[in-house]
Amino acid sequence: MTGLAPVDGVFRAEYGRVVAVLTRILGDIDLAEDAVQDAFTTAAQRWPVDGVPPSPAGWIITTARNRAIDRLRRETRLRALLVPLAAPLAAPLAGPEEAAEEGPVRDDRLRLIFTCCHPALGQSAQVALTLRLLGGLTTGEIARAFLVPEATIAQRIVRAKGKIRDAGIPYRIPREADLPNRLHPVLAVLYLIFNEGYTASSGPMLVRDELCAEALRLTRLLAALLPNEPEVLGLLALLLLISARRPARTTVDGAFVRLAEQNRSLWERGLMVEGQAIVRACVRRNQPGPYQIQAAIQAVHSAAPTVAATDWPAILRLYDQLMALAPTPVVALNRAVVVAEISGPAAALAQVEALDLDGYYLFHAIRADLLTRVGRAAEATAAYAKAATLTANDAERAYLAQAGS
Amino acid sequence: MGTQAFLAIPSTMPTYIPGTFGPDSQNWSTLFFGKLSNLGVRARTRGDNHSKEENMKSYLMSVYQPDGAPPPPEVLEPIMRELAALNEELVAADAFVFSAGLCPPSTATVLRAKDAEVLMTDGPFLEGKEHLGGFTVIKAPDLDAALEWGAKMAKATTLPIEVRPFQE
Repeated sequence: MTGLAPVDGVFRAEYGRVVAVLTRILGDIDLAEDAVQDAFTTAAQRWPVDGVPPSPAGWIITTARNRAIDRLRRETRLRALLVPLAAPLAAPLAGPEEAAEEGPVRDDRLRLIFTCCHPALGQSAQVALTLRLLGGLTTGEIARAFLVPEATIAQRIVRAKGKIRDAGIPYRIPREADLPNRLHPVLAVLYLIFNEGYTASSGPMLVRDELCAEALRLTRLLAALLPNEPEVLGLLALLLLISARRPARTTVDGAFVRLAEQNRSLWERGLMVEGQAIVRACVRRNQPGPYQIQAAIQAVHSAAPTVAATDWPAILRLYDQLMALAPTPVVALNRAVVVAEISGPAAALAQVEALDLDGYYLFHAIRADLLTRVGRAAEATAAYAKAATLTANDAERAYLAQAGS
Repeated sequence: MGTQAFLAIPSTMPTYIPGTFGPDSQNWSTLFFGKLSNLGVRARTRGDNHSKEENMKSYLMSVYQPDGAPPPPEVLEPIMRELAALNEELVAADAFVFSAGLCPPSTATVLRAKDAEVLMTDGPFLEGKEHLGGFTVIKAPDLDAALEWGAKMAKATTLPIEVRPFQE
């Protein structure tokens, strides 16, 4: 198995890129995936003997393209034997002779991102396709990450690819005028993948790091491909700043640690500094959007050496801005937490109780915390219990159960 | 499945004339769509992608409308104007293929073959609060283009529009 190692590394890093290029050349995602699979199989046999080629991705693309053309020739010949008058599947053979140049490859990956996150596909399909085609995750890996049966994910992907093919979802970068609307589902998918990894919606682990890492990797890719889209940068900064706290967020035995109680010396400086720099650049650009504002809120947190040193008024101003752009009850709930730090728990509690979020576990958890702080212990215990029944994540439930006792 | 035509195909020019809807019907889907416009779609075959025309896909845009009486004229008339304008736009863009409104679901009959018999039931296949009121068939280069027409149709009719590709 050691012979597979160089191929494995290239596979994860380059899968999305080579599938994107082959999809353009072949005009079909399934053909592209089969061809890329063939090429990696060949690589697994050859590279341990011949050595890794200087441009592994280029080698994979060329090999995959040749394999696909061979396969199409065989099929065309077969069809020719069976149905003499059948229309030839010759179009891809006349396709341009592509090397792995960077220019078109850049566009190919963008095309693939926008195809996977096309608004005519449901969000669960967008997520599965993005992880499969751009992340190179197997259906089994995606199924385990989302704790759903593998057959469900496989079915979702087959259905989505069928819709792309039959309904004619174009393999194209959206027009400039459509870009803001079309970026919205792309960012939502990346954020959802990260969030699912960060607070797994169910199961024993609080965090599934591999999903967070994949979301961050894909967001970095998107930011490299669209360096002038402020909200893409905003999402990247947000994910970096949240990822930076990862080492402090759970104890060694996996228990949940709240932001206020985290050991801030464990925060990863590299990620923090990178995220803060992006936030500063966004502020200078002054085209705010919800992801940028959320990133700015996290940047203010990250700049405080202790909880007590947090610049709460700055965070409140950012929440006010966020409320102006995205006036949702969940944003209002988070804003109320900041109000508690500035005006006290009673003022915050009044705001929280006005919100219609009865089905949301954090509503009850935050309400419980505020009730505790104003000395209404019995009600706090009931609210913690309600919160615990509403989360399916074992680590969070354990935390809430303990807080309520 | 791959190569047959999906509609009978006289290759004539559109006979659809915008503005010919009359308020003479019990059935407002007829008002929406006018009478049958008889024109066809050329058969398309896979691998025959040479001209621009041959690269077009066909889409069905179905209008779902609530059961019951049509809305009053002051609501219906602006909708009719919008729809007439949209149909003109479709014809001008050479995207228009076919358009028709259906009589109410109460006029439908469902047939089911069972053994040697055919059973007949009065009424639509699915009973619901909404029904298929009419449809328009368009040509478009891809789903994005088809969805733009669908969005215009949804705005014009104020009703949900289902966009669905034809088999090729």
